[in-house]
Amino acid sequence: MKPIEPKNPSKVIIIPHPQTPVKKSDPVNPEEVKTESDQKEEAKEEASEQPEK
Amino acid sequence: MKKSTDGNSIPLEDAARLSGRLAFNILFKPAGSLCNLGCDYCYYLDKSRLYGGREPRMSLEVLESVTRAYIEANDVPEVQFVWHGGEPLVVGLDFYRKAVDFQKKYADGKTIHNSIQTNGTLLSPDWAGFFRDNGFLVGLSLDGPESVHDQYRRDRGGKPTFARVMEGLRMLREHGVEFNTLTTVSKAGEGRGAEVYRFLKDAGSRYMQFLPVVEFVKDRDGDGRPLIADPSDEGVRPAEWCVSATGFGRFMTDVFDEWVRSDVGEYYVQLFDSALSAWCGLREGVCVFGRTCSGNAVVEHNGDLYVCDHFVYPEYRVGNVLETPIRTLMETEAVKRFAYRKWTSLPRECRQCAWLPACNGECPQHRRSDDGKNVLCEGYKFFFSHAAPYMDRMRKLLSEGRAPAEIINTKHIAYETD
Repeated sequence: MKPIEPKNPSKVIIIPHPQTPVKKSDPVNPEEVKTESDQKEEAKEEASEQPEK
Repeated sequence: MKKSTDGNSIPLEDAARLSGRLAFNILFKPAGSLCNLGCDYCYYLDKSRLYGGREPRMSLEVLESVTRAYIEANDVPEVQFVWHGGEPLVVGLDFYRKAVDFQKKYADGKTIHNSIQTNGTLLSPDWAGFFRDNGFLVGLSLDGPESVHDQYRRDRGGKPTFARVMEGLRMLREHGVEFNTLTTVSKAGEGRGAEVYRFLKDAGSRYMQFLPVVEFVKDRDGDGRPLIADPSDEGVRPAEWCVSATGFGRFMTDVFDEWVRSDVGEYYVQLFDSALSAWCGLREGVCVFGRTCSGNAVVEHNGDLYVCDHFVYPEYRVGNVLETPIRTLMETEAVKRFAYRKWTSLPRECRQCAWLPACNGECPQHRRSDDGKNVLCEGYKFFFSHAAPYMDRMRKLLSEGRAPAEIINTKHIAYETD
């Protein structure tokens, strides 16, 4: 398995600069975590969206 | 979102949406590049040239004006003020007392947070008490044990600073100030990742940020430290203090091995948090790993706004917040172009890389290879390859509603193939 590109990049969120002091990131919500099957499903979806050559 | 048809670009409207924001961070530079230290690798010291070499200092009039404008411009209930330098403590404690007063005056129901990045050498009990009482998060620049830290972090007289920083740290701890550490990874740290990590833990740091030192320089007229080169300069060379790609990759891998063995959930390393987010399909934890450059602008002492702390060059000056509303400046085409150029300039090889969602080409400032790739590419590949099975396992734990810390004491992790 590999990292996954997030699907909701327009969400309003401030991403800190590496030189901004920060504490730990927000806790991960388990319901938002993509599983292997989610990833396979998305890969299928993306493949079907590809324009025909 | 529309698909790119050539694989190398995304439509303008999608790029604008990706970079669009209703909230943004500003790093305030109340003293510009002014600093009581003269660290060899500092990328900001030379910025005094932008302002005629004068000693910069933000006036209270500018402070009040930018405070009001910044709070008004952010459409979010919580606004973050980041104080940065140079060394932001050189403007004195009264400046920050006024800053807090102005924040209260213009908060308009919003919650205000403050963080400040300091070299720690000017801290005193008064400063520590103020930070504690006003809830400032202090980022302390500490590169590791004495022999690593003092290699490049020296004062203007060339004297080492480690002992003074540790005294500052002692004061922060004694006064119960929230702090984290910012550790640059330079040539001096190569091969010493585990040692540096253990040192930071012993020093009481639970939240750690590691920053690779990658600078390109050119000679200046006469003697002295070479100048940090502008992005457009030709005939530049890597600075002697730069960390190598493999050196950085191995450093972070060594830190990771220490962390994943016993510290997950107790100690936090920004790169690891961000990588785990990417593995879980969530947003990056730090802007350099995002697809586009997100809103992290800089306001200099006189109100000049630049697109990013790493791009404070004349060609990246957007305007002045005393003349134009901040929100207008942040929504200019120049800022949007800067944001999505991170994606559109990404080399084809990067787009096909397995680690793309976790890396996204990292900071554009580091894309200085002849092929347009990040000079740290091999280091990141080394790190992500090493961390992958552990990230897989932690994602699985999270998806089951369990804590990633359960990975501690896992004796063997076999790579889970797709």
